[in-house]
Amino acid sequence: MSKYNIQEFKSNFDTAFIEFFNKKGYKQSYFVDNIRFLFGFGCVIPAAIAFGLEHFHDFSKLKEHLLCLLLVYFTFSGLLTWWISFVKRNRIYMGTSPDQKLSIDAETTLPLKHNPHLDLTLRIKRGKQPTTIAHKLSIPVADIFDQEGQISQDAFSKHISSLCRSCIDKE
Amino acid sequence: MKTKMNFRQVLSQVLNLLLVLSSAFMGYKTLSLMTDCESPVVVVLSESMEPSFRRGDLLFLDNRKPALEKQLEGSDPSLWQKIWYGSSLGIGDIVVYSLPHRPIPIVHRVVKLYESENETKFITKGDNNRIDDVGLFPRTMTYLDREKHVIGVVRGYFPYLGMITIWLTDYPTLKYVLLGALGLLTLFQKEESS
Repeated sequence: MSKYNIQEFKSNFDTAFIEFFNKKGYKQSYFVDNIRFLFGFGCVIPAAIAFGLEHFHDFSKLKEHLLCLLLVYFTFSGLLTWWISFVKRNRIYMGTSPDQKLSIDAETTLPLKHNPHLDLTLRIKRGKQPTTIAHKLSIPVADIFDQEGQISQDAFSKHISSLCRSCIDKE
Repeated sequence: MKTKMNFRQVLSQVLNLLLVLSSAFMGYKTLSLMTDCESPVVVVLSESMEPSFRRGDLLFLDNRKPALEKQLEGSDPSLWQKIWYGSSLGIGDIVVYSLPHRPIPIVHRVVKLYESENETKFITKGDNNRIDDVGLFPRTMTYLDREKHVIGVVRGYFPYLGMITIWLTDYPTLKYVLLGALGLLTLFQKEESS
């Protein structure tokens, strides 16, 4: 990983975070990603059909169906934009505890390049309760990553374990 | 679990690449639909229209034909009406047309026009040519037909922007190198979150 690359810091943290909870037996949910794939391929398929019609026939054949294909494409494109902007946002993990009693939802952001703190927002929902409790943690990048830009596993585990004790175990 | 994540990451990268390609393609087709033109953007390849257009200029075409009622409404439609409904072909307009035996379309100016209720026929000439285009037509043709031959009427241009297309056509290796580099850049760009 290249040094001082903020995006790579976040990406490595996200990966380590996911692996930490998966190793603890949490079952990861891919619902948000699956819907994103659905909307994404909903955009790609009409474009592929339009390309195929023009390639294997001619423009006059494509013109008969072009309006419908464009309407479908822009509908899915709008849905995809909405899903990524308002639903997925900076979400990195959604999972359920091994005993099915807790579900967690984590978001990470690196708000400022010159303020290397990684903001972690953890939302915890107990059972079928309608309310979720949000815990926010600001982790200095220097506390987790060593001088070579690699995650210090001990420091990472220490931060996340203390988070688990203070937030998840208390719920 | 790790294998499943890697498959999702690969699928995500592939989807990102396909979305980039499909958005460019569908954007172009939206322009095609709006202008009723198969190729709404073309590049000038020869010097036959100098000094009006030079080799490498990018031309924006419109192939809409306003309904007969709109044409009869007034002899001089406003700029907004021309933009919204399209405008009929007139002498002095620059058209892009294709001939049956020529693979590359021609960009020339209308110099003679014959209009009737059902059809519009015309003859063109390049600004930089001494004679009109009748010599380019097949022996059975003495005029061009608005419906059959015209790809679009030039409504705007951008100088020299099409030189990129000319370089990519003249040097095919450059095209494959550029496409390959773009593809690799998209595929190897790290996701912010998995």
